[in-house]
Amino acid sequence: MKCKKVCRLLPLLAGSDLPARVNEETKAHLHTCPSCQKEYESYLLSFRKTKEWLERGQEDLPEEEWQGLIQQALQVEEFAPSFRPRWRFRRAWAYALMAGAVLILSLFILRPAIFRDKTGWGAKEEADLTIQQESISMTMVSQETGLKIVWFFNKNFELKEER
Amino acid sequence: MKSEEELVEESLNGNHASFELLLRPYRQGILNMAVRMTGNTEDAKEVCQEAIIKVYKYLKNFRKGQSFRNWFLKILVNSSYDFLRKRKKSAEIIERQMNMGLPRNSDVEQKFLQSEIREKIQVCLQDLTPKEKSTFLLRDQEGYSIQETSEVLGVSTGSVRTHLSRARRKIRRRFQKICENKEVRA
Repeated sequence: MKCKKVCRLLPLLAGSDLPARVNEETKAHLHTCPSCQKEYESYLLSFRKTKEWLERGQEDLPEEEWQGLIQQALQVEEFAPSFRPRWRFRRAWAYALMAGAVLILSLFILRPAIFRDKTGWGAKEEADLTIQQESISMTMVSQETGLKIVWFFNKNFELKEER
Repeated sequence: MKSEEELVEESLNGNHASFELLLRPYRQGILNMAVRMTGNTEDAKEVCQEAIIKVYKYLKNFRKGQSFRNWFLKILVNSSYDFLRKRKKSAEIIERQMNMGLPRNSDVEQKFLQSEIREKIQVCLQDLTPKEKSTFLLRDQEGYSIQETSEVLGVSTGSVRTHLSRARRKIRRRFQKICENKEVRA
């Protein structure tokens, strides 16, 4: 183990918060490296001192103030309604649900591109559209005489007229 | 002596005395945690008040079999985060309006030299972010394991180790500065 890595681990080693194997490896390095050992000792010193201060500097609430805090909390009219669902939230389910939603959405968006070969869902609609496109009609009605003229154009724009 | 589950049940049935009995064992613990998080007793009391109100309000959501201590501490830590966020905002507004900053590090170090234990702790904790502070306090003050700390804070154990490592590094830096100042003074 190199000094740089050991230095990173020293704060955790001081509080015995490293996994057993890493702990052993780091300590083995400390036996062979005086500079890291010195660094470790300074961590140990600050760790012990702050712990000691934390323990000695404990405060307590006077009984009256404590009762006051409780009474103020009890003035909340009633318990808030529980919004917690009956089932337990699981992250995996949420991911699966999201993946499903994305898949369905992408099917709707990409559908025309996927089924362009006219064998799938979009084929029939596309065929109907082609048939409808083969002829166009135009109706004109005179407001004065009521005469009605219908023009039919085929795909070659050949005109056929009906009165 | 009644178990915590019984006390929760009775509190939910409207027994106020049971609610007080339920919280009493954590009285000192929550105050100290809040004092370290906020930096002074007055703000700490406000945070405790907020946490106790939330505990009462959402007691219905407390799951049986879950550790009440962990749940309570989680609420307290989240209340502290909210409080610190609000305080930071209002401090910025005051600073803008009055062109007056918060105490500088040198002022705090000067205070430390007059040395009260509480001040010493606050000096050591002043560089820590709220997350680093809560991780450090749960592990080194409350004596929670890495696993328990991760459960209370709702983060991974890797994240707890990272915050803890950063916190201890910052504390050591501050501690060394303080020791150097002391030597210079002596």
